[in-house]
Amino acid sequence: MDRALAPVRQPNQPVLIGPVALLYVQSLSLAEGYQIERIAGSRFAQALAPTTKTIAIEALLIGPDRLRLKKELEALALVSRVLVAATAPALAAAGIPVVCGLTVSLDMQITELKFAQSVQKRDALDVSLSLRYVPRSTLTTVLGEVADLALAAGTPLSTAPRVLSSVPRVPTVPLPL
Amino acid sequence: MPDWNTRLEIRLGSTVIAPISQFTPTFNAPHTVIHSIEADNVGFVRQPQTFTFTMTVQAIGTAVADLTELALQGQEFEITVAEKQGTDWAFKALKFGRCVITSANPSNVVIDGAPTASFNCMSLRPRID
Repeated sequence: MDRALAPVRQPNQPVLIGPVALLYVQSLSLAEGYQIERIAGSRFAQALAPTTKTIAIEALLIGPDRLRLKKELEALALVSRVLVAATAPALAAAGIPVVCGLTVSLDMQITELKFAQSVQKRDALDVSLSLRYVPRSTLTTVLGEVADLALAAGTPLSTAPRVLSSVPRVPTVPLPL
Repeated sequence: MPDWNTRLEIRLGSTVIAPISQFTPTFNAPHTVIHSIEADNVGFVRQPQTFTFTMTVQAIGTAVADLTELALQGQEFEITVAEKQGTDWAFKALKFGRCVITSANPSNVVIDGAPTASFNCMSLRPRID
């Protein structure tokens, strides 16, 4: 009888950061929320604005094409002024989409990119990157929310969108405490 | 199917270490399995290799005294394992270059038989012939 010893699992889906596919992601964390400020000397609090969404990714680059991936990530992170100048028109329209099992987030920008080579990992690079949400147009924001909802609903991204929850993106009236 | 009819000898530089009762070389080549957030066992990463060997020698000849002195002084030496008689061994020789003793047990005195000495060593340059 021929049986595989390893348990049957999903295939290794990459984490897509724009065109770059990271296959060996060790951790991915998403931070988001809404800023609430207490109004001094009163019992009210003011909901100010959504906290900027940030995504932190720790991954490994292994294999012979690790340095090519490093260069591609650097190009996405715009590590030189030349790159910024060259891509500025495109940047105004769209950011970097991050597509993974946890979230679909459009319009992200890489704010920090760190590579580490260590003695414990031969022929491999540790990469940690932080991305930050930089909103462009309402359209991409809506598209991003739709894609994220579709992901949460477990439907493929290509099917018709479900009900869209509109999240207010402006300061609201003070909340009573 | 060859019979084992071969004698091996172990040399420290050019002197034969005798009577040796045990010689255990270990080539440690660690690899770590990599998992991703989506799947298990998706790759591996190589880690630094280390080469060590352990030998147990009866504390009779001068070789044990030499080895103990090498251990105390932290000097580098060379060890060779080779066929003395016969050709049944899978290898022609195992050569361990740039060795240092990491732990020595120079003379374990027991009630029966000669005292034994054991040495744990590491090598920077092993070679297989």
